[in-house]
Amino acid sequence: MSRLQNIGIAFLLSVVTTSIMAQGINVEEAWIREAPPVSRVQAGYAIFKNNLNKDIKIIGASSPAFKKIEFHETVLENGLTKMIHQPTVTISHQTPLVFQPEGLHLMLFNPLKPLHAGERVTINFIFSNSTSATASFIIRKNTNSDSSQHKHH
Amino acid sequence: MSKSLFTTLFLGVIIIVSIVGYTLYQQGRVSRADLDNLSATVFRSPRAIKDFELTDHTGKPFTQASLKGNWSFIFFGYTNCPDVCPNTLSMMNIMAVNLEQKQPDKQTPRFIMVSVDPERDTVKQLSAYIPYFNNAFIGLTGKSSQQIDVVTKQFGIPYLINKKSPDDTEYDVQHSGAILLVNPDGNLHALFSGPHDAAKLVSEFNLIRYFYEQN
Repeated sequence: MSRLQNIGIAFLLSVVTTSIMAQGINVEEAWIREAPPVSRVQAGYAIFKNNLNKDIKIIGASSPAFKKIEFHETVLENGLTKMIHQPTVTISHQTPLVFQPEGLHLMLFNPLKPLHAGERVTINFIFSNSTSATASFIIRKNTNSDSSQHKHH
Repeated sequence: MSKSLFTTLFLGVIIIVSIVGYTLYQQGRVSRADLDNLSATVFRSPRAIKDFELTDHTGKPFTQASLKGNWSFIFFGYTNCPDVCPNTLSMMNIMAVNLEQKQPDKQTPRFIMVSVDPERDTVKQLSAYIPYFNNAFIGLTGKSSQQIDVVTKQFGIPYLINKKSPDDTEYDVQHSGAILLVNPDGNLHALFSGPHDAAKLVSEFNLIRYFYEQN
């Protein structure tokens, strides 16, 4: 692999990996799937890492870009794909909490304006220890796992 | 060389050439057993589809006859679905691009989303939603749930509209994530259960189509 490709990959990683937050919680790979202009709901994904020595819950989320945010989990039950509303979610201090396509996701209701790939929005998370922190989410068209689009290039 | 020895040698060569030729021919063929090993369920006898009356995202009627003449991948979803439906439609777009680029001599299959939420998914709503993923994709809706049920019931596709109250407008719809494959005769040919992977679906579809074309 050429040095130029290495630099390119390092740059890409720096773009897709956002590490923020105080109080020992990091958020990485925070992104929102771009949606068709008529969509009233969108989904957000991220990986939460807890560097504290105990579990912590996320008890709420809000953003200036959306009317309401909830935590939903997509599950397959008896041949039906369901979305289960989770009032709170727990970030274990041992394993990261992963929000991902067709799994646990941020359900983002009523975007106040259409969001385009490359734009960023902030989401504020409230934790069970009465702290809160803001993460920056990038709008993207596809998932990382859509690598099949690129692997033959 | 005696005549009988020549005849024996000649017949021997014919037999060897036949065996080698047949073996090579069989290696190139896709057998039914190959299809049984796919993750897709390929029906031994493709199933006839009873007529239905739906409307596409441009407002034109779409019936069982509209399925003929090309392969169709059919998925059931709704436009207020934030996770599974856009994920599946994006995956179908990757499939479409892959098939178009790698097999330009073959007709690219149709990719169809049938809405299981006709109350909110009007033609206007679908017309702004479906082309976002791919201009060639087709969105179908009905004038009522009954029209949708004519399709879902015969395909064995369950769904459940999850309204919390009669005036709930933010409801979600529980639905099957399966993708159906209809052959150019307009018959149900195969079923892919989720989770879906574009590369796998394309390679399995190529095998299914190849087997269909040589039989």
